[in-house]
Amino acid sequence: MSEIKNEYEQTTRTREWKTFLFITVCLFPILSVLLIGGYGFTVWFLQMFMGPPGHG
Amino acid sequence: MIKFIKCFWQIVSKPSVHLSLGLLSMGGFLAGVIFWGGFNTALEVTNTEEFCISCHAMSDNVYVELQETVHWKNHSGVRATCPDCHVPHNWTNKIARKMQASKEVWSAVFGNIDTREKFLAKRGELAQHEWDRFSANNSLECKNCHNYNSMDFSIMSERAQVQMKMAAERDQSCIDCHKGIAHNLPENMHSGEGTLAKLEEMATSGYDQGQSYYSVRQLPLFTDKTLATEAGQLNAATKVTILAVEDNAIQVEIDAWRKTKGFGRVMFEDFAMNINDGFLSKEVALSDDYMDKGESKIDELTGLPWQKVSVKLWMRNGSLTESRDTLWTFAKTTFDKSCSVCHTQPAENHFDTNTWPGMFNGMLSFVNLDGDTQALVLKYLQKHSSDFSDEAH
Repeated sequence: MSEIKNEYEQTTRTREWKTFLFITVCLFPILSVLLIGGYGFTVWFLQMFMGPPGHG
Repeated sequence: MIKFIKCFWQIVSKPSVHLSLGLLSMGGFLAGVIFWGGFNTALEVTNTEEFCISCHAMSDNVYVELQETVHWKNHSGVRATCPDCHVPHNWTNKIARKMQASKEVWSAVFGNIDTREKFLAKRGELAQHEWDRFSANNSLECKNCHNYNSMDFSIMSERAQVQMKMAAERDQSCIDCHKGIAHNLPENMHSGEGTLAKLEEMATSGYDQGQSYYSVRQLPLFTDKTLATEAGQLNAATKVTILAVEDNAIQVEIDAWRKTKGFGRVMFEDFAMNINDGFLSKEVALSDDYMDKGESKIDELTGLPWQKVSVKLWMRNGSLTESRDTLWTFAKTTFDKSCSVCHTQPAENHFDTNTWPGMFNGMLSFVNLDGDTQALVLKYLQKHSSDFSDEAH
């Protein structure tokens, strides 16, 4: 009984570690870059309709 | 895949069983620090001159041209690098510009501008993008360094003072007058090729003997119909009367006045009015073979003797038009367009005929007009000056 539980705990532990590392190292950085890039593109497209960036 | 995402969500959405809160926040914090540092480093690296000139379109063309200018080398030892002028400094516009650059990366990868010829063909378009940007943001990137308030007008040349004071008053956009300050201008802004064609289009063909026509641009004059020996030059928008028409050559008569002091080489349209009709070579001016001399008068204002002459010379068949109206329309458009960029342009009849040349020549260095257009516009201004205007000024 305790052995099965141990094994279950072991898999969840590795899963949590893997997920944690995946999120911090890959997922969120990629999302951030996409977000900032997307923001940049949006501003560019707006500039196409409303003209180049003005002063102010 | 769906199973994987479900499994992932199960772990993410619940409090972790094995990893402590401290570890998670610390790990997230560190990852954040490293990411932001890396992001900014990448932003900085792509904002250096080394990065800009790593593609040939930049290093072989605009970078070389920059090295001839004051923005590369000057007595104060401060120089501008590519991103100083070409990348907005405020964050949002900077990011937007970086995204726009994806187009430039694409072009570099696929070699859209990999030769000098391709670059020259594109220069006008590319320059216009930058000019539009500078016009819209009031030359913000120039003003990051140059400040009207910090300019010492007293050490500028007199001509610069007049211009810069007016510009400072209105916080004018630098690019209005200083196009081509760091790189060469697009070709058609220098040579008259574009306007030359336009002027030639105004010319009519098939000229009748005894009729009067006007030159569409500055034209060479010759002593005989073989067109071998040059006799001088006819100015733009100058009246000639056709005496004879051969295949390639026409003989014309120019009724003009000249000052008889010196060789009398320059021809003027009317007595005591410095409206240029062209000039003669020394030999022709001194010879009696090519002209009939008429009355002589002394201009009391200058004390100079003037003489009426009727010059008979040959020129190439072509480049004449029946009326000056189309020429004046073109000249007026050019005057309105070029001369209102830096200041409010004066009315044509604000000056008299003999004042215009000095005013006009003093302004020439601020605009990009070719010789033919200059001559035409000046003549337009003189012929519409206060001497010819009915309106009292």
